[in-house]
Amino acid sequence: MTHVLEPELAVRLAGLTLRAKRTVDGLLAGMHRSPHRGASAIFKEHRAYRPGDDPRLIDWRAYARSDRYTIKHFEHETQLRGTLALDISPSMHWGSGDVSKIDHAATLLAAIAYLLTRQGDAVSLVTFDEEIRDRLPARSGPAHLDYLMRTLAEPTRSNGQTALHASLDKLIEHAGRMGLVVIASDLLDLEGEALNPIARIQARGHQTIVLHVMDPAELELPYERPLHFEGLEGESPVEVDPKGARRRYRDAIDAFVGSCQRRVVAAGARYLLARTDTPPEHTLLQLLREG
Amino acid sequence: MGFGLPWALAGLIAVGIPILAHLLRRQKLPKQTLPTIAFLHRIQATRAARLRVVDMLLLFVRALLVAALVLVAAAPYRVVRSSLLDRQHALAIVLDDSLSMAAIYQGKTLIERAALSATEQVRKLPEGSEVSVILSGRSPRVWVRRRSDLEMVGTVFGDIGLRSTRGDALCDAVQTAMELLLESELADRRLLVLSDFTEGTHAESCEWPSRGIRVAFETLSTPNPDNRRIASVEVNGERDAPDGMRLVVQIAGTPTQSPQELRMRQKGQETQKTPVQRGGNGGEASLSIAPGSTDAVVELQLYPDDVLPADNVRGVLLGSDTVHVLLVDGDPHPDPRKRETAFLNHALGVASRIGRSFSVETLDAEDLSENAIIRSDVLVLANATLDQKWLPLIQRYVGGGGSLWITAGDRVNPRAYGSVLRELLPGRYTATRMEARSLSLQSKTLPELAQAKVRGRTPIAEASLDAVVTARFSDGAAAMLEHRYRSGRVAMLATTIDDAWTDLPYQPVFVPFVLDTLRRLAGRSEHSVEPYGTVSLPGSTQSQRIQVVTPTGRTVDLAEADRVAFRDTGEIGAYRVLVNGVNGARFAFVVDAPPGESDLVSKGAPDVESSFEAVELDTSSGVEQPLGPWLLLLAMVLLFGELGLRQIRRR
Repeated sequence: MTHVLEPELAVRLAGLTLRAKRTVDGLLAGMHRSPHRGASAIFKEHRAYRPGDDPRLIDWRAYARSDRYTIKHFEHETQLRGTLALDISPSMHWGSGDVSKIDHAATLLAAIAYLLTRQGDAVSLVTFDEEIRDRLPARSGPAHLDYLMRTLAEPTRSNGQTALHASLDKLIEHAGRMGLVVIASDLLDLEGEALNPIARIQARGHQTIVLHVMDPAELELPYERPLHFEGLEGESPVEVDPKGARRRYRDAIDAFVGSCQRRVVAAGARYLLARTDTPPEHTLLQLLREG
Repeated sequence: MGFGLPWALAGLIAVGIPILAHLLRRQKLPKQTLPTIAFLHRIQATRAARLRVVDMLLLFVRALLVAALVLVAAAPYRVVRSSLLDRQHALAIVLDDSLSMAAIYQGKTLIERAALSATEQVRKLPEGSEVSVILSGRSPRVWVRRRSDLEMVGTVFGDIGLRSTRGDALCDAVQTAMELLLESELADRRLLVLSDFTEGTHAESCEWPSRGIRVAFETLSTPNPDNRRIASVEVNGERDAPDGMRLVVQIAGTPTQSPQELRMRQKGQETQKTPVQRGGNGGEASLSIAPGSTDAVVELQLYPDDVLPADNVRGVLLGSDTVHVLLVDGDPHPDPRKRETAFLNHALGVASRIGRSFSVETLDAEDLSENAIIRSDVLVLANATLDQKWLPLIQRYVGGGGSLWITAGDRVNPRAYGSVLRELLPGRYTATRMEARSLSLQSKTLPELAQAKVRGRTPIAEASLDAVVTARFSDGAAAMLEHRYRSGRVAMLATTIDDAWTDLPYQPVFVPFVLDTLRRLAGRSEHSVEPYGTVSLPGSTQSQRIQVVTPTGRTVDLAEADRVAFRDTGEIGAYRVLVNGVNGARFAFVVDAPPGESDLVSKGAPDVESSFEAVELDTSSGVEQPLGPWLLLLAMVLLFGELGLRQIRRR
């Protein structure tokens, strides 16, 4: 079967790749230390031999000097497994300006994937709305990166609503153990337990980063005249005069963002508000600096 | 419930305007997608619900407001179903007492039945109600004016004449009743009309109340009415002819196989009777009056009586070709040929030879008598200035139907005529003058008058508005002026009737001029009088007693007065007038049954479409209560409600 790259997808893919590379360029390359100790070039410590230890790890030179069995411990570098989760629910496809939330999120995730791939790490991708839609296994290498970019540029079309709890629960199974999990979503699932799975992801040893993607119009409600507002995920429409409702709306949004941040941080994960009007490299820089 | 102006309900379409505006307003808001709409829902949850309620209330109130205003314009009313017994109200009873209601059914006239029904209605009224009673026979009379003493009102129906001869004036009576009802302070107003609703009532052309007054009808009629009447009488022949006079009488009405006869009464005594020959349209009979009869009037009666006896009677004026002329000579002379009236007497003497009959009496001015004046048809004052004492009598005489012809001369005092008889005369005599050159006379009706030459004249000035110039001098001034004064006629001639100032008496045209003038002045009205109509008669004086003998033989003495408007004409038939006990033929008159009242077939109550159906009398039927004020109040409340809701919405 011959796969022909559609022109629109090609444009989107080229744009995404370009944005990702530009985001990474200039940033310091981060190095990940493996949490697994073992054979490696980097010495970490000596410790007393305990039954059950691999006899091959005994430092015979140290035995000759001290007449005690000593284990020589090395800290070895390992390939990181990065899992990128992209919310593709209809609300993510909206944007008040040229850039939709999903475009912005895809750019950020693509940049992270590019970064990880450059380091030789394996990267997997999951897209979700009310369930997992696309599932790319963890691989490394340019070909996989290209495939991942293509999926980010053209994820499966979604008509479902955001269901974070169910989707993140399934993400746990996909992410395996002890990796980096980056979730990009607008988190517009107002269920009280929507973010609870993040704690479980953390418990599996993952380092979890939540990129809360929001459009400035969502945060500020900048409209001036009365409007007939319609939702994107089946919500009933409502007529609102933004002038009168703006203050209370902002209070509600601030409360929502604050609540999301508290829940994510409480779960041991990192939270980052990614406004679509903020350049992605700024967001990524903030992510790396604080990392 | 009903509406005074139901077509105004078309305005209810306007109720759609606020609804349409509401829908358009909703549609015109631009749409905006927003993923975080849930938060708008959250903060708008209470407000939106409240706004939705307010909006719906606003829409409802506005639609109601429009509907209320439209309904106010449609003049709604509520028919309160209540018995006459349970609430006070103003009731106006229009009782038809016209001739047709005098028809007898099962031993009672319809008027009597109507009176009984009205009495019963009044008896059922609650205390505090107000009653007016209007009789609709011509002329309408307010029998009871807004009385709350129901016991008293109940008794007045017994005073209504049960055998009326009146014409019908239902519409005028209804108008009067409405005015009385509108004067009442009671809001519940009713009009009850009791009538036979025959052709003669013209009920359909009345102006019935459209709002605020509920109308009820009670139709009283005689089923299969059996009624005939004397339709017409033709008088043939001459009083002095050898065969006398012949009356041909036409009978009309319901055909009958029973033998009918016609009876004639003269001076109150039955003198003849003849059977009625049945014909296609009723019947015919003929009667004769012996030669030489002096009766001015006779009375006919159809036997036997039917359901309406009143129209079986008819008076017949026999009329008279003889004109009674009283010549008053103001310039008497021992030689009859030189008297002022010599030429007049000569002309009147010729009259019998040309088929005209004049009875002439000549008196000197100082020999004038009241009796002579009152019995004459025309009084000619030839160059006479009368004593002041006669002037009031002459005024009364002319007012009562007599005629006066004044001719000028050297004895005429213009000032005397101008002061006392000014009102009576068609103009005013001015100073006498003799003309240097003779004038001729001009008349359209008698062109031959141009042959006469006039040398002297007493010009007539200040002609009254109704005066007619029948002859002029060649210089255009009036030579002969005439006008009507009340029931009589007055003529003035500006020159002499003898040969003192003119050669007219020598002209062939003089005889026709005199005879035509006298016939014209003596012309009598031969029209009959409607029952209760007014007849102008001279009143009794100290020396002259005027009496009227009615068809039933009742004698009425006329009061002492210059002129009497005699109104006691309620009986149908012939009325004779006695002057000092002698028949005054000139004053006889007849009263005929009102036209249209002999048709007893009821057309039923009119269809009053304005506000309620014409109904038979129903004591439980409702009363019309206007709802306009309440709706207006509601509209005000809605208006304030709308303003309040708009304020709430803004907040």
